[in-house]
Amino acid sequence: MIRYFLSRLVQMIPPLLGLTVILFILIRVGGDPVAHMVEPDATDEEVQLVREAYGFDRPFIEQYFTQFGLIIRGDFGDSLRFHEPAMPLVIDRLPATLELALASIVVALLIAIPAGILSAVYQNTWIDFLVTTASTLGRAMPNFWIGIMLILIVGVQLRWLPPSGRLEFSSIILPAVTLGTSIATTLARVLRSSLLEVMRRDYMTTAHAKGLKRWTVIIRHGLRNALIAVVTVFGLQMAWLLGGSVIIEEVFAWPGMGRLLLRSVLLRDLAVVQAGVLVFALVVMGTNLLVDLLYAYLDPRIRYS
Amino acid sequence: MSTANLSSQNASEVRSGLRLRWVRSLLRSPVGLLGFFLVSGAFLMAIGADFIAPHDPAEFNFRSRLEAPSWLGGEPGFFLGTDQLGRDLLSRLIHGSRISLLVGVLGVLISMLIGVTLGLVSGYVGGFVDSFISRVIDTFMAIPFILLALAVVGVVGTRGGNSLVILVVVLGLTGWVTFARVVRGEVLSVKNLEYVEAANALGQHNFFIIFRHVLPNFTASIIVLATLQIATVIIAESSLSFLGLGVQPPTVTWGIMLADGRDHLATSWWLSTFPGIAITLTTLGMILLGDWLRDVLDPRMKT
Amino acid sequence: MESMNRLVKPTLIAMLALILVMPALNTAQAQGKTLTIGMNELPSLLDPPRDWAIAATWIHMNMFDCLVWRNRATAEFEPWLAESWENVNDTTWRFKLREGVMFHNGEELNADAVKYTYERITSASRAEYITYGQWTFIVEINILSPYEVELVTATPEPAMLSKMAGTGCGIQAPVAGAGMVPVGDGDYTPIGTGPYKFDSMTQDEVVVLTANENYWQGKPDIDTIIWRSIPETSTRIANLLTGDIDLMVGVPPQDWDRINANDGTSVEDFLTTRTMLLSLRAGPSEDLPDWSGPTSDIRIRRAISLAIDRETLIEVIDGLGIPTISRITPPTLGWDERHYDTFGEYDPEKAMGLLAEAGYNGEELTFHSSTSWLLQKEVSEVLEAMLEAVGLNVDLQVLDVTTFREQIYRPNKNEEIYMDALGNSFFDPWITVRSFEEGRRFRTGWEGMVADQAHSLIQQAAVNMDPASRGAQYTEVFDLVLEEAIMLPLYQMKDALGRTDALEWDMPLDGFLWMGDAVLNR
Repeated sequence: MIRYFLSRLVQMIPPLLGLTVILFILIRVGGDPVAHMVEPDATDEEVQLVREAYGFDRPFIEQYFTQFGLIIRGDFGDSLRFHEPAMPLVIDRLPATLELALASIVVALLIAIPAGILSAVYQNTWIDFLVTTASTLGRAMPNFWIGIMLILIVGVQLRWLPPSGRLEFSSIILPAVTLGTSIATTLARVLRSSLLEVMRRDYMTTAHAKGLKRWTVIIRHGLRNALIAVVTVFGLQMAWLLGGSVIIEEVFAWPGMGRLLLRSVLLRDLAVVQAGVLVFALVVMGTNLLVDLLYAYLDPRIRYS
Repeated sequence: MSTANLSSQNASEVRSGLRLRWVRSLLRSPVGLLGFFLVSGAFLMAIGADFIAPHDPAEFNFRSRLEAPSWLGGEPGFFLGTDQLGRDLLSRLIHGSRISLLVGVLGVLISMLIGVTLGLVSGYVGGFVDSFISRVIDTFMAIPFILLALAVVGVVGTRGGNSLVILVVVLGLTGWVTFARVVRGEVLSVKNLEYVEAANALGQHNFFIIFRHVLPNFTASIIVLATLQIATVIIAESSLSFLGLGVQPPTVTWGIMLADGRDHLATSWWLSTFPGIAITLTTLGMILLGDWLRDVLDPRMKT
Repeated sequence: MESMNRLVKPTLIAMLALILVMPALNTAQAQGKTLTIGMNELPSLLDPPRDWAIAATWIHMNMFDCLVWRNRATAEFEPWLAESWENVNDTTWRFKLREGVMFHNGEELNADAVKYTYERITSASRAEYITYGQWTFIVEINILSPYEVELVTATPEPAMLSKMAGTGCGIQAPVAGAGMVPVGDGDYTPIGTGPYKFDSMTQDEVVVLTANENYWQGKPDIDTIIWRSIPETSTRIANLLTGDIDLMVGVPPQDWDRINANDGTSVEDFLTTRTMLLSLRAGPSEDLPDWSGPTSDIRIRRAISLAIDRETLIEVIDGLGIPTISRITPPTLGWDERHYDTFGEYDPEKAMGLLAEAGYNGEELTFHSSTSWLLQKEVSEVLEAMLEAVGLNVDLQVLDVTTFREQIYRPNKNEEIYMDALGNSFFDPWITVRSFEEGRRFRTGWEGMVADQAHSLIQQAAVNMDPASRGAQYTEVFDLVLEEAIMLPLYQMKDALGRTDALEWDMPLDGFLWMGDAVLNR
């Protein structure tokens, strides 16, 4: 099994290399970092000096391989904005983003588990319909809008929680709720359908026959099984969470990777974008691997070869 | 269900029977019915925008800026109030539906085309091609959709009239992965089924086999997925507008209205609340319709 | 299935635990009086010559002092780190330094530091410093005595004092033994003589400054200033209302009432040095060699000028601006009553006449605007309507900020019309007319006799040491620009500051947040 995962990791390398090419083309060839580094009235000579200082006057292919050489060594080069190595900058921001992602997952579970159980148990009743609709709303509303609403209501009107920042512990609640509601939907739905399937299975019927209370059955057997499905969904939702962080971090002034990447894309800070996207990709892939491992462990029928 | 062996007459009977079954099923499902009404409402609004809108959406009224909706004491004639330049919000909302839906539908069509093709090829051809495409899919899955869209839009830029085309292409290019993944999985599951193998043995051409025997097996999943993706794309368009990278004026979309109105949420809440409601209802409709479609089209997935 | 339980439970517990003991929560717990300022962005570098964004300038000026000080209410020059100065001849300036001024690291300010500071910027290898081009006028720096330094300029430099008090002017402590701080060194620590010392910085999150106990003008009243990055305007306002921040700029008009009604906060508007303007292309230039659009005809340019109703524009921006037809605004030398606080000539009839005369036949005019400034998108939509009202066929393209910079400023692919707001924090006219110099006309392609006349006026003014005639020369340049309708200034922008009432501090003329004399009643 370890071999399976190793080979999967190795296979991931060519597409990631391809990605560095795409990002290079998009950001260095498509955009012009120098436009953001000189004053508007600068003459061509002044601009040329800057180009030379950073090596932007070299042929693109040479620039790519210079940067590629750095990537191979895990360096990625210096950020144009901060004049510091890009990778440590990105790593510095990673905890804030992961914190937010984890907190969002907790929020999502707190919403999804009861919602999923209720709608499965009361399948096709008004409760089911209500849960479906309500949880769908979470997905149907843009993140930033929910975020601003929460700031206005909970932050300003009620003054229960700080509107933004990461200066105190409670600061994380609003962004986590905002991001969490958007994945709670998917979790609730997965939970609902796997619960329903489990409830139809034989041993559940047997359990019924034993006269155990219905709720006990659902919680003892159903939930355990259903959680397997939920674990799977986490892997898929990680990318969504990290993507959402770009917007949520902007709304809540949360100093994570999302904001760093947003600024870096806009100011053509290639080194940071490369490093950031790679770290994002690794986090998502790592989560997926972890989920697969967990999954194989939980469900003996699954074998990796 | 395979209709391959039925005569054409029988086939058409089955089809009309199916149609009836759909209508009945729709009438029986409150969720599906709601979804159907929401979605068709949005599309009707987009199609008939010129006739429904009470005002010219680009007409300024500097004397009546930021008026509240007329039923809340605002100036009569502006049912949903006016924006910063005194333009009628309702008319802008109605016209905005056009681009929002267009971006959603076209974006999904593009990603569907790419995704389904790659998924089919990957699953059916197998071998090296499959593992290559799979790794590309994995990589794309690992990169947040919005980040990819951001990188492309951030570079290609949002240049006036072209911004719409660019946006559609970007959203299309970044959304194909989901389709490819699902289709590949489905192909793998039917590839070795008897009738596909039989067709293969009979020496039928690969593409023929794919279109005749493989594809029909999961049109249901594709359609369901498409409805969900439209919702995602409409929200993505709005998110890009929030980051300042969406479609630019004079084009108006729900996403722009929502993003621009956010600075007025505390004072002129209607500016972004109504576009927000429009997006929410439309995407909600799409999701509900998708749920219902899945139940009807693909009984296997029925829960 | 028991294995499931064994695994999932610890996983969940671990996740919860992780969140509960979240590390690195920045608790910049401040001592004493703390002022928190909400910014839309924070500087990426704290080194004055390397970042000249507004946010950077504000933070820099609290840590660094310059030789000369521009009075914040009158814009007059006053002695600062230099006790006095003397213009020995047209190109030689002598500055006598104040004695006993200490840098934050305990070293004393002397002529070596001045030499170090300016040599660092002007040496050719510093081309990547964004302010490099501004400082190349200094050709020689001589130390006359420990407290006396002589700066020699290539040509007579009438804007000398304004430059010595302008962007990137802050005197830095020579880092012992380190020589010049190399590019790419993230370990740079800002050490100046200013009222506040650098404490810590978390990129894109906070910059913390603490009071300089030994400030040569006495310790400031505020003990700690926290500059917080909050990019989203509505979030920043929420933070002001809840008291998380004490000060912010860029309060949009719709939120004034809320902030004034809130207990302990109020809004105050102030004039910025920025002028919102349209720039018209008159001819081809290097980046657009084949251009020959309708605005190459002066009559069409004049028609555009006549079609603009500045009165309506001011209404659209809720009065947050003063209409002007020149970029030189008071109290800057060269500002003129004829050009300032006037709606200019608005005559759609005449505009239509000019268009007819020019034989204008509906050719398309591309109008580039962006979302850089407050209400810019809305104003450009209104402008488009005004131009179309006289029969012009305008294609408005509102670009995002990044694209705008890469299309209009580098390379200069602006077509007929572009719109931007340009500032003049130096309070000297040289920067406002620079784009009309030969060799810098890449965005207008302006050529011909009048253009040459403007160029020679700019050249003369650049070395004219007599303020009165120099001012008149700049005024004349704008007369020529107006005559040829090359640039159409619209209004000098106002901004609004949201603040806590506990802060005793007068809004300065330039709107820059220098907090050295601020008092916090807490």
